[in-house]
Amino acid sequence: MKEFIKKWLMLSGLVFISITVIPAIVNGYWETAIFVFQLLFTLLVICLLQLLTDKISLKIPLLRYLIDLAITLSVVLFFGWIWKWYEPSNVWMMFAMVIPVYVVVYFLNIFKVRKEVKAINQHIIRRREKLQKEKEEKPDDC
Amino acid sequence: MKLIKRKIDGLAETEIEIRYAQMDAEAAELIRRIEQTERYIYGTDNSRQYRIRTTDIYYAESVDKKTFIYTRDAVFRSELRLYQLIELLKADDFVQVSKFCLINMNVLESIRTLFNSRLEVTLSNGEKVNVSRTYLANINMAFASKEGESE
Repeated sequence: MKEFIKKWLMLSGLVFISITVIPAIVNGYWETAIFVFQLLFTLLVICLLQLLTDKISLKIPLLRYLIDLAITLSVVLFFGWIWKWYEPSNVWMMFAMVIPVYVVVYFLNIFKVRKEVKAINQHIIRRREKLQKEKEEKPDDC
Repeated sequence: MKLIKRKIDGLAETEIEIRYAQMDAEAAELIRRIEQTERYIYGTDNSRQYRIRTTDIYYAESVDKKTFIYTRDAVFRSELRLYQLIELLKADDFVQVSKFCLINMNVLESIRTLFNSRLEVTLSNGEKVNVSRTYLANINMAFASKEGESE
């Protein structure tokens, strides 16, 4: 399922790029294509910064999510300001767009962590059983 | 090659005696493998140096750039840095669970998430150690590869 969703989203992304870039090349209408590339660049910067914050060990993991959210908002507001995505009067729209996406990502992360914890616990049980079996099978007199 | 296994009650530790007519490739490989399974690391406690069997190590952690080795009921200081220990113990059943901690996979009892998104493992001696969520995939992979090796 996960692979299916990944494939679907990746394909959608490529189609969005294609339907903005091809008409831009053909008709010389670059406005939408430039906006898509600005978005791609902004997301790239966010992902790179999150890679860096992942390396930092924090005693309170919840703090990491808050830092990640702060970074994401800062990057979007910064590039949005440079590329004039918003008027100062409606800056709240940036928050309204970023926060719901971030909340969804947060819950997906929690779900992923729980799934991994469950898998590790199953590994631990299997390993314990294997070690126990080996212990019991240790030779008596041969 | 003839394999003789014998249970001897009251023996303090397992003994292996290899009898060979000449040191050929087979005998050398056998010795190498046995030496690999019985490995030691040195640690100090109250200025006394101890030889710690790697299989007796529960976990190792780095605190303020000092490395500590924990066995079931003792703690030793190691002169090695954590990354050196990781390198030394990578062939054994150890897995890194955070930037500062390395755990023996054979003493893991369970792992759980805490209410504030923190992760914690419980060891077979009841001790609890914090786990970083960025190392979860690493732990999962370590177990999967060990399972793959044994199949």
